[in-house]
Formats: sequence, C-alpha cells, structure tokens
Amino acid sequence: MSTVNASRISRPQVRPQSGAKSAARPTTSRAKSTPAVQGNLALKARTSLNKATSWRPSIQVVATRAQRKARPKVFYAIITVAVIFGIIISNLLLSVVVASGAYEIASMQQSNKELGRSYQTMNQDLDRLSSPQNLAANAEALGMVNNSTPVYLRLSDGAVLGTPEPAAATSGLIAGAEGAVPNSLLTGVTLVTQKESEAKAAAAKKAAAEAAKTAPVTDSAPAAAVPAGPVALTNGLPGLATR
Amino acid sequence: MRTNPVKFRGTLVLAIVVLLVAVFTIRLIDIQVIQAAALTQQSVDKRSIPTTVYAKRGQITDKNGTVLADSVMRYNVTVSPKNAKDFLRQTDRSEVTITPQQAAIEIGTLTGQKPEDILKIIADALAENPKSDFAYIKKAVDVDTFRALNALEIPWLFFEQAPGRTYPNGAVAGNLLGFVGADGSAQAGLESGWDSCVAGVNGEEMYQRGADGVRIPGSTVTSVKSQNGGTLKLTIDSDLQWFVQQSLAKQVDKYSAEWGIAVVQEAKTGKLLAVADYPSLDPNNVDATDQSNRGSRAFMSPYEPGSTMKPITASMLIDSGVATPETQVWDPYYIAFPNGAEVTDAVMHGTLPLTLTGVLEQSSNVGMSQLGDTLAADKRYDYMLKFGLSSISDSGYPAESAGILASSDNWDNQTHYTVTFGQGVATTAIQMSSAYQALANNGKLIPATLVESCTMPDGTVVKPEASATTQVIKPQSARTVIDMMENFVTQGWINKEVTVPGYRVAMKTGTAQQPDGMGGYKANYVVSNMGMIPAEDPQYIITVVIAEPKVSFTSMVCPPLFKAIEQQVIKRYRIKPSQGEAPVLPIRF
Repeated sequence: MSTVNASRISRPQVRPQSGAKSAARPTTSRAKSTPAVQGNLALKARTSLNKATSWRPSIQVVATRAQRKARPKVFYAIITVAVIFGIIISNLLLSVVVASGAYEIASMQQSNKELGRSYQTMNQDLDRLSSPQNLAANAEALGMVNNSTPVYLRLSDGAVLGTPEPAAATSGLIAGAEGAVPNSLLTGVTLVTQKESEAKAAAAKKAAAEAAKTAPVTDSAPAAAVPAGPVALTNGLPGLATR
Repeated sequence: MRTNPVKFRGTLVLAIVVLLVAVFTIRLIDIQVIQAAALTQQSVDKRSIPTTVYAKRGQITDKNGTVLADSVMRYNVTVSPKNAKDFLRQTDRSEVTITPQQAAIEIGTLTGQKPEDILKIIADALAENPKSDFAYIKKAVDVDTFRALNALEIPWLFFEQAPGRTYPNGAVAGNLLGFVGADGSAQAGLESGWDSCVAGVNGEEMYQRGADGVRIPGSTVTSVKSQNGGTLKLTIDSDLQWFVQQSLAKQVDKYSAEWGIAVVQEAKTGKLLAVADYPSLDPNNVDATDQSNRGSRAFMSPYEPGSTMKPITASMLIDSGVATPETQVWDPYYIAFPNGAEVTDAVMHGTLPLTLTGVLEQSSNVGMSQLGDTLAADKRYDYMLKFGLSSISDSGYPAESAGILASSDNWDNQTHYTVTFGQGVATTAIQMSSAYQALANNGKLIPATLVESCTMPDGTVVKPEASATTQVIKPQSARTVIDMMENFVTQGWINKEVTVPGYRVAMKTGTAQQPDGMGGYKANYVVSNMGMIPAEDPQYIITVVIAEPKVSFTSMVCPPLFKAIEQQVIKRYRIKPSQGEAPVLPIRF
C-alpha cells in the first residue's frame, strides 16, 4: 500500500510525500484556523497541537474508504490464529482422551474376557451338575427309586385310574449299571450323601500322596515360597501367596 | 591459463552440493515413491497383530432346549524351551529364584502331569533345536487350570486359545451327537451331518498396538468377519433318552449281549424322541469307546428283523384284499414248497388250524410263508419299498444305511418265502420303527426326523426339508393290523410281560438269525420287540433290539425293557389310561 498510510505527517510544515503527490494536495489555507476537508484526501488538524501551536495543525493521511476496506483486518487474523491453536489444542486433548480411553477399553475388554471365562466355567458346572446322570445318581443315593406304575387321580370324581403298586427297592436304574451311560465331566463330583469333609479329606490325602511323590525335587526350594502341593482354587483363581 | 582458485573452489562446492542434493532426491524418491508401499507394509507389519476371532460353534439342544453340545474356550499351554531358565519371583518379603524344576512341579500339579515329563518336553525340544522357542506342554486345559497357571507368572510359559466342545450330558445321545476333532472340525454323528448348521466361520482381524501392548484405538481392520454357528434343535427328549439308554444298558449287560438299540418315535409326526445305542459313547471322552461302538447302530447297522416283519406282511395281504384277519391256513411245523424252498417254525408243534391273526400270535413262519405267497412277489416288494425298507430317513444322520433289500426279481426260491417273516432282508431299527409308524398313523408313513430346526445366530429358524409322506396302506387296513397285534399281546404268553395295567398295547416280537458272512447263519440271535401305545389310538412307537444275548430263552430278554420304556413314556407324556376293551379276533378255526 502506499506510503500515505504509513507516514503520519506530524511535521508542522506540510510537505506532501512523493508517492502521495497526486493524491495529497495540501490546499489548506493558513488563515483558517480549522482545517478544511477538501478533495479526496483530507488533512485533519490536530487539536492538541493546535492548542500548543495554534497556527500549525498536525496532519495525517486519512485512508479512503476503499483503502480502509483493503487494509488487513487484525481481528480476523486473531480469530484465524486462535482457531488454529484451538484446533491443535483440542486435537491434542482429544488424542489424550482417546489414548487414555484405549487403556480403559483394554482393561474393560480384559475384564470382559475374565467375566466371560467365569461365566463359562460356572455355566459348565451348572450344565454338568444338571445332567441326568448326576441327578439320578444323587436321587438313588438318597434312597429314591423309580416307580414305573403310573396312577392318576381324576379330580372331577376322585377316581383313581390305574393300579397303584409300590416300587421295589431294586427298581433304581443306576444301581448295578453305574457308568453305563458315562459322563466324564462328572469326574470328581461328589454325591450329596457323601460328606463334604470326607470328600475333602480324601482329596487332601490324595494330594498329599502326590506331593510326597514329587517332594525330592523340591528339597532345595524354600518351602514357604514355593507351594509344592496343589494350588487351592478360590472362585476359580489360585490362592497363591506368591506374586 | 591458471584458473582462479577462488572461483574453482566455489564451483567445486556448488557441484558437491548439487550432487548431494541429487543423491538425497533420488533416495527420497526411492523411499517415498518406489519402495513406499513395501516400507509401509513393513512398518504396519511390525506394529500390527493379526488375530483370529474365534466363531462359536453352535449348540445342539434337545427338544426342550437342554444343551447337549456346547462350545467352550480351552487353552493350550506352550513353552519357550530356550527361555526356560531360572527367574525371579516377587514374594511378599523377598525375591525368590524359581528354577525350571520348581516351575515344572507347579505346572504339573495343575495340569496333572509329572514334573519329569514337563522337563522332558523342554529338554526334547532343545535337543532337537537348541534355539527352540515353542513346544506344547499340554493341550486344551480348562479355564480354571489356565487361570491358575497364568497366576504362576512363569515368564517362559505361554497360552494359546483352543476352541473346544463340551457335552454336558455325557453319553446321553452321545452316539447320535458324534464328536469333533481336536481342531474343532466335525468328525461324526450329527455334529458332522449338520455341520452346515452349527459350524461357525472364524474371523480374522488386524490391529496395531503401542509399545505397552495396548491396542491403538481405531487401528482394527477386520479382514474376515467371524460368524457364529446356529443352534441345532433335536427332536430328542434328553430325559427320556437317558432313561432308555440306562435301561437298555442294564438289560444288555445283564444278558452279556453284544449290543442293543432302543427307539421311541412319535406316531403322528415321525419325530424320534429317543434313539439309544449301547455300548454308548461319551463324546467328552471318545477314546474310552471302541471304534466300532462310536456310531449309532440304530441308523448305521442293518440286521435281519425276523418276525417283527410279520405284521408288515399281514398289512400287505389285508390291504391288497387277498386276506383278512380270519383267513385260514393249516400250519405244520415244516413245509417244503413246490419251488424247493423249505421253511420251519421256531418250535416243534403239530399241524395247527390258524387264522392270519393266529399266525401272528403263534409267530408262525410256515403259516406266514403260505399266506404271503398269495400276494405276488413284485407286489410285496412294492409294498416294502413304500414302507421305506430301502430308503433312509430325514434325520440327516451321516452314513445312515438304507438296509439290504434285493428287488423281487432277484429273490431266490427261499427268499421268496423268507422275506414274509423278515429273513433274507436287512433293515435298520429306524426303518422298522418308521414302518410301524405308518401302521400307527392310519397307514401314512412320515419319514423319521431327528432335527426339529436350526436357529441361525440372527434368529432365523430354518426347518429341515421334509420328504413327502406316503400313504402306504389304507387306514382301515392299518387299524386291522393294529388289532391283530393287540391280539398277539392279549391272547399270548407275553401279555403279563408287557401290559401296563390300564393301558392297551399292540406289539410283535422278533427273534432273528443273522448271517455269519459265509453264506450261513450264526448260532446267536438278534431279538427285538416292536410295538405301539396306546393301542386304541397309537401315539408312540417303541422299538427294542438286543443282539446275541447269552441266554437260552432269548424271548425273555426284550420284554422287560420294552415294558420299562412303555411305562416311562406313559409317565413322561401323561398318557391317560385306555378306554374300551381290546377286540378279540379268532386265532384258530
């Protein structure tokens, strides 16, 4: 842009700049105390200077409307820069959030996986315990037998349909044919009639025997830190003291 | 002429700069353009982790939704032998050095292996390749064991997922279900026959992970989408199935028989409610069962049915109008036919004046041969085809046998007569059950089914395509034959053996010799009972087959089992006591 805009004429004597020659044409009459605005370039008197030096008004180049319009707007520049910085910062924050989210996702996926495993084991336990083999074996262990003579009581007249007959003590299906319809998933599942303490004692005895078998190898190991026996499972997790 | 040293130096520097820039530019183009794809791939490969997304193989359930086969995740325990060295373990108070020997003990107590064996696996792998980085310690451990092993925090112990299959009810319907191999592929039975329903499609995906192993969000690329398998719902009732299997096992063992089959079929739908085979297969533990006993004999092994064929023959005669229940025949113990064929009855007796009903009641081969001959062989053959004696069922059970039935043109003189009483023809238990189903269902045969539906993961229910039903004989012919079979019970010795008080039953026994594979017959028999309850409007077909019982009076082997199943079916399906009395048909004249 022109030097007119840049040069602020504060000298007392008005000396039109070369670049502004065509435009700036000081026509102000010295006789007049107030500056007149003439043509497209006006010279404005500086009132402060006027007070000091009343006869020499300070003047400056006033931009035309077109020039003012053409001038870069600082406001917009600030906006632009602010937006850019805003974007950068929010991008940064976003990626920080996403990254920390990734850890959350990973830990949640992990716990989801763990829960899925727990669900699987418990479901398997439920399914195998509700298998007919287990139910029938438990029922017979409790002394129940199968009565195969169906008898109906008709509610309308209280009539007994069929011939009631007591079941024989030997009419159980399991007794005498244990394991005929095997279910290997039931290995180690105790019957309700077996006392839990007995079963545990038996299991412990077995484990002790196994541990004794492997004992020579553990001789050098610090007994407290290395469990040589079976690791006790609590809720499907080993109750190990070591970490 | 001397060059200006200053100018020369300037030129030299410029030339070097230009050269360097040129080299860099070329290298830049090489890296950025020419090798760009390969390098990007390399970098992605370094960061990306390809994973298999295991699809779930569908469940197999019984008709009530009881799960008979389910998928579980198991874990293979692997080791890096070259890294199997001492490691430090942080305890509450101090750090402890754990030697591979101690680690092996800890692993062994959890997997049930001997520590020596585990150390041997490591040593063997190292002996083969000193830099060995991979060996299996144990395959397919369950979740509990996996968790316990994982908690040991042994740095050279690794795990890989191994989808497995579990059969919560063990051997209940085990012979039907079949099993899958270690790789998860179907090997036998319905698992194999309906693989298209239950098999899933494993997916593949690739994700990138950061230095700390955490998946980078948004980096997952799925190349193959995993697709779970559908749920196969059977027509089997697992409680009844168990009862039938257990009762069958008891009876087969009692008489030291070779094998046994028991089938319960719904008369009006053709659905199989129980198909028991013994010896049974526990699909959880396939190796425990001998190879020959792993399938379902009910579907796979045809046998000569013997006298249980007689009601079928009688129905042909009645339906085609050549005989009635009162048709008379003189029944000697032995007969020689004009074509040279000779037929005898099972027990010695004088010549008896029998009706067709009496022939059934006495289970007379001679009588049935004579009466059967009154219908042309090709007609009888056509009827047999219509009864499904040469076709397979709608079960979808793989390797199902269609039985052995030669066309009537190929029947020799002897077979011409023997087919009337079920010799010279071999059928499966399912075929016989279906033939009786036709009798019980007003003469209309509905092919036996074992599968109710297949529910895809998206919820769509696919019903298996049903074959056409066949009106084999007229409804009244079927009714007449059922009456005759009921008279077999009420007027015969078996009445007290199989009749449940208050209920009417129609049935027929069979004691058949089996070919020995050398043109003759074996000394032992396959005994069978086939019947339907309640006789006035049959709802259930019961078939019992026991092979080669080691007892002299073989007729007594099946009835107790037949009766037990009858009683269980009555209880299980709440059959009301029968109304009315059994019709009395004359058996002699």
